Amino acid sequence: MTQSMNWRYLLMFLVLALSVPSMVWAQDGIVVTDDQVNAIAQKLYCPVCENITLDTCGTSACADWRYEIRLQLEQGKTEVQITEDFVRRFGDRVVGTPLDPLLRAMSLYVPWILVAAALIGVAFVLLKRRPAQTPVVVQATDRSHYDDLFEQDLSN
Amino acid sequence: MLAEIGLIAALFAFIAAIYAIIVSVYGERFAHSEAMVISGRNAVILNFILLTVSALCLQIALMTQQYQIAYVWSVTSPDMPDFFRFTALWGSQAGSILFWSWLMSLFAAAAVAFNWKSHRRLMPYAIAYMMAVVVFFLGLTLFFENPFERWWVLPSGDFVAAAFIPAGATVPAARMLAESANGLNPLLRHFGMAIHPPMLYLGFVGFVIPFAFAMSALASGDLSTNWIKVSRRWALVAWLFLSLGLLLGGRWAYDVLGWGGYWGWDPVENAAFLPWLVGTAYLHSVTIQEQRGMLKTWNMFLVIGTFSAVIFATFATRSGLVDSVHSFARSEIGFPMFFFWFSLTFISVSLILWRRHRGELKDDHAFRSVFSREALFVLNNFVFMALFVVIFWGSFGAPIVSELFMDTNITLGADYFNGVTAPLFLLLYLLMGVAPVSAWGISTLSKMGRALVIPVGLTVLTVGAFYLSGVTSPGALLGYGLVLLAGWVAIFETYRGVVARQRVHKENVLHSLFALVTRNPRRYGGYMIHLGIAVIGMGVIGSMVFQQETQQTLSVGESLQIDGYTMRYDGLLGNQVSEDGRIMDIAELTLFRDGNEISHLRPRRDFFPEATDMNSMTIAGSYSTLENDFYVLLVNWEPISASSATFKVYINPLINLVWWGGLILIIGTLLAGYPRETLPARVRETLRLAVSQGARS
Amino acid sequence: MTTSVNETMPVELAVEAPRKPARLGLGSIVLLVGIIAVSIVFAIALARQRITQPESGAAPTFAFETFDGQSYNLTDLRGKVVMINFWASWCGPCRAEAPELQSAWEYYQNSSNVIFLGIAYADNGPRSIAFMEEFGISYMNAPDLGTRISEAYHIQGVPETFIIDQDGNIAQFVYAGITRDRLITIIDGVLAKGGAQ
Repeated sequence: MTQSMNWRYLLMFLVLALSVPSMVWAQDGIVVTDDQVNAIAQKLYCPVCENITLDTCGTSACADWRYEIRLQLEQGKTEVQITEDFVRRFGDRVVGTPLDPLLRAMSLYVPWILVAAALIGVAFVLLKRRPAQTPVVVQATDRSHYDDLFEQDLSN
Repeated sequence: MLAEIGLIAALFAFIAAIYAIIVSVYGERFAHSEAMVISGRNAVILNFILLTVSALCLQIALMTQQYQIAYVWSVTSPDMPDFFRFTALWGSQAGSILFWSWLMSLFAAAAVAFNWKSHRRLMPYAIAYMMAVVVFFLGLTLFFENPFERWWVLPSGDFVAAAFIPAGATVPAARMLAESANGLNPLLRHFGMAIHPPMLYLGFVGFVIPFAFAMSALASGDLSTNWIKVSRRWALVAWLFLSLGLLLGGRWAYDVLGWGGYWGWDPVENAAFLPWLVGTAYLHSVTIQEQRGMLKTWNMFLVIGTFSAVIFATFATRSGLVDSVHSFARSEIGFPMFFFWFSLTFISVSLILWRRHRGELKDDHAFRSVFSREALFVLNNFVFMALFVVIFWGSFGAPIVSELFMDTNITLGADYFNGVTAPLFLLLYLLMGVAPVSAWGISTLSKMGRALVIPVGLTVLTVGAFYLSGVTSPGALLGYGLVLLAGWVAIFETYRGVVARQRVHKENVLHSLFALVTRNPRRYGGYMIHLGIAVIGMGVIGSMVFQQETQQTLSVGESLQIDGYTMRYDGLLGNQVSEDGRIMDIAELTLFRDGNEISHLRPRRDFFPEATDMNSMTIAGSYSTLENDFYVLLVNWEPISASSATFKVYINPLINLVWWGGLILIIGTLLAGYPRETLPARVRETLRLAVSQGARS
Repeated sequence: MTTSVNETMPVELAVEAPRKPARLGLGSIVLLVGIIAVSIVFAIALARQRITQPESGAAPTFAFETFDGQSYNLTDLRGKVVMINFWASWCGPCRAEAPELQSAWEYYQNSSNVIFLGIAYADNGPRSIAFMEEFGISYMNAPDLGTRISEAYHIQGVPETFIIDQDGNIAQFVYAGITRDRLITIIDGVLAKGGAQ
């Protein structure tokens, strides 16, 4: 009996000992530093200003949004969750690259498609023109590269 | 009185410019009258004189506080220092357009003065095109954004701004106008802002000369190398100012905007960068045309593209097409500017295509080797164009397409631009390392390899040093490696020139270097520009990849630590009033490194009680070494008091290399544009003999 | 001064006459069409920038979910006069306006043909709810998710107010803050007109 009582006391003590820090945890929340807030804020754009990130924006609206990032961090949300929440509320303009898959693909791939099309165009023009040209004999010299350059210096 | 003189002078300048267009074209093309062509030239000079009078009137009105003039009223106030009264000329839309027209007319007059004799055949059409652009901007001044409008009181008691006195109106009381005057936007009250816009405008406006000569060549049919010769030097002048303007803009952002960086990929910044990209591509490919008679059509596209990008940048910035911190207020000039941009581009491109179809832009040579310098230059041009495309797309394409066709507003930010441009910039650095050692016509890989051995060795050594100093990220090391290679090649090629000269002449190193550079300023100026760009690249990689930041709230006596620095908050000087009426809260900080006191910093927050918007700004305190900048801001939205204040600290490694590289770039450009004809022919002949003897021996 | 130049001119002009009719290649056509296409897009974008708040005509419809979780569509409210007010807790003039709006709502809340709807623009976190509690706001309020509603109405700032009549047309647009009396005058006017039909 006494043994089991002891055992129970031990268990109670253990539970208490474990729960004390977790109770403190729950009351104070996670301690969030300014740097953690800024790390997320600098990737989000102020929805009502023009191309200013939230970490450098001085308006009271931005202060509120930084406060919201802090609140969400304190609730244990991750950067991805916070970003998604901001996008849901304010639209894709708040992120530097849209999250919406279609918009994202359009933003990221279209410029490269344009560049590739231009590359093909250039290659086409150069290749097409080549045989049509009468080859012009160039003074290919056997002298070292440097003399080559030097010669040009003087001739132009 | 000033307003009347200014307005009338601007009106006559407008008429003179139209007159110049008509007599130049008619005299050259139809009447074949030398007298008419000369009259057109004189009208260009007259246009410049009249515009000078007009701009001077506005400047005097600003300096003497003529608040009845609405522009003066909107950008100055009685308590402003004279320096900012002076710079207020370009502080807002109407004044800056007049200033822009004046600069353009200055360039036109200079082109006429310098090139009249040497390029007489191209002149009439060049004058017509330059004046057409001036007419457009003067038209904006006269009909849309008149800086000479004055305030009037109507009989009804309402205030109205008008160029001419409305019926029955009276002049408002001077005191009332002075008291209600706005004052300059606080962000513009900075020394950098005094120089940055004029430099940028000079860069923008300067490209009108190469454009006009290219168009003149197309219109007149004189498609020899004449236009290339004259336009290259003017393009270099414009490029110098544009580079300077971009650098100063970065410096201003770093000092004033308070976010620890110098380039924010904002649409307006990008808009100013786009002509730089096309212009730089042109300055490279123009060499191919001069040396090999190739890429004639392409060079036309580049010159015209540069100016089209300039007008586009002006249009995008001033029309409210995109939202940006830099934008001028939305105004009525959007559609006029848009039509001007469109017609300029469309007409120019059609002209090129027309000449091309007539077979007048045929190249003299074909490409013979993929490693020839011309092939590498083509690749270089391609990368510049790719940069243009991705930056244009990110700034204007994607936001506009998504708004129009997908009904969503998006902004592409730094992560997009850094991601897509970084590989392209690194490719450019690689080309910058390789192209200078390739030869025109035919060049082989082994030959290039031999020339690269030493620069590559030096690069490996320096990258190794970076690795040992703690840089371990492979991406950063690759970046540093490519940038360093470009730099080492520029240095080594110059060194080889000096050594080769010394083989011939017995002279000391400095003398050799001087002689080498003055003899071929274009090549060695070019190397110096490359060196400058490489130094800037080092700074950009360092400050972008390795920036550190922290934000902490300190009480007096407390310290924060970052990257080996300790910063102590010593106290606050609150409510200091400066001569221009701003109220400053100044934090006093002491900076320690490794326990030793190294500096006192005074970051501050300025508050402008009379300004309507943007009424506060933060001025950073910074401690600069070659290794990094310790950059601290007083966070202005948190409470600031003697007991506690919030500080944001950035460590920006190698950032000073951006400014130093800029300086090298400017000196290099001055060298590259230095007229080498100053060297007497006799001396050149002696040199030629000496070198050919040296080469034989 | 340079007479010799003049002599060459007629020759040059003669050369300028087209040698063969200009035939546009595919590349040229693509280029010119491309320039025109890009320009059209920019022209439309520029025109769109200049669109301001609608002051008449059919009110843009939208779906919304109020802060209490009820879902509606603007079309559900046909037959009633709807006041839409865009606000934000971070906006100073909205604070001044809030008691006026609430007071006007109290005037109409028992009438079945007037609806007040607040749209919290770029602001719908805990601060919005605190704002509504602070001013005891009892009419419907919804967050502007993704700022789609404010985009449809092209608002330039907050506060801005639209009054929509029984047929779903915009009867009045009020830029900046509004007072209780002005709002009541407008709404009564719309009610009177609607009743006459």
